Amino acid sequence: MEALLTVFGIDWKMLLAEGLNFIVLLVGLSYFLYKPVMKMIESRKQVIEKGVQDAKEAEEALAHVEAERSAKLSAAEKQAEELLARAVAEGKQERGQIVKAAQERSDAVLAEARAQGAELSRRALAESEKEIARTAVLAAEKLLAQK
Amino acid sequence: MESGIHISLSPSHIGDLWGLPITSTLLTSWLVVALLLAAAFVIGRSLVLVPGKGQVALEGMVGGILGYMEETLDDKALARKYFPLVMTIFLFILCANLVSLLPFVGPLEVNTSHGPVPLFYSVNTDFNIPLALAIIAFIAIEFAGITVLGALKYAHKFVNFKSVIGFIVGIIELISEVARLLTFSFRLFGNIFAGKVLILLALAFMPYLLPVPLLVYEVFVAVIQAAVFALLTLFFIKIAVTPLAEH
Repeated sequence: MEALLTVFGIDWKMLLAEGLNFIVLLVGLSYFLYKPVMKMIESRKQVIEKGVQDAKEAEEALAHVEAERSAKLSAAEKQAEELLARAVAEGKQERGQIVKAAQERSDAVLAEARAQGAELSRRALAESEKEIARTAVLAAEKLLAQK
Repeated sequence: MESGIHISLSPSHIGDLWGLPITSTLLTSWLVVALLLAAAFVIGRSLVLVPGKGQVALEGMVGGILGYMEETLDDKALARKYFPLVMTIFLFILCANLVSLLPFVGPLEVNTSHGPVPLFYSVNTDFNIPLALAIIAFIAIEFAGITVLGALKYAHKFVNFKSVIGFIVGIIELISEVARLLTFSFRLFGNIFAGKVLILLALAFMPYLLPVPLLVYEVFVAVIQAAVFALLTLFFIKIAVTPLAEH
């Protein structure tokens, strides 16, 4: 056994040195390489998860906004329709009033014109009666003077 | 190296530092650790939320290995706990094997009191290193078994007085558990040492063309051995945390 150890140059000091060597490497690599790489993989995973989550939320928000917009749009359309209908109804009513007023006015004007016409013809008749009487008197005077 | 091929099972001794023998393989393993830590530091700081191609590849690798561990262990928390160990075993063995194939590892020599020795040398040709890794993997595996199952239940796997067969199976389990230390370390050591000898031989016979396919093959071996060591650690952890089936 002793000979075997000597042939291979086995020395507990060397074993210890090499063991220590390996442990230093193990600790160093864990600290400088494995931990940062694991952390990086982990944090990237979180970033991606967050991104996916955000995209989902944005999509939901978009759908919400879209629904709200269409609801508002249809409400506005309905309101406009109502407004139009009311305006049309009001217009109709006003037109009726105006037409009625015009009719009344024209009726009044017509009645007045008729009254005036009647008065004029009555006066003309009276005047012509007076004229005829005068002419008759004059004719009578003439006849009397000839005789 | 005109005098012939020099192959030694034990590592070349360069000097001593506070009683610790400094060998060329120890220096090379320090180099590997320094390179890995520097790379980890630079890469770890340059991570951004929106990744480039390199970061995608890195994250894919880390995520893929972690996912595979979660699948194998069937437990997310346990996978996360042992991921650094398995990953570091893979990275260290892979880098050590690859660095050992670089041209300056071996030929670059320093003069010592007992002649010139390589400053850097193929890491896993020093049996101390695979053995140290095997001991760490062994401790981690036993630790996983004890923490997940509890000390008594875990010990019950090896010491079983319920039946004769159960007792024998327990003893066999215990032997194979300890034998893992040897299989783990010798598998890695044998592969890399053999590869090193093969390349040295090829260099001695035909220095210009022959080593090329062998080096390509050694790159393949480097990856395979690193993966095997890491995967076996993972599977043995899985076996350790699996409770004994009741018959």
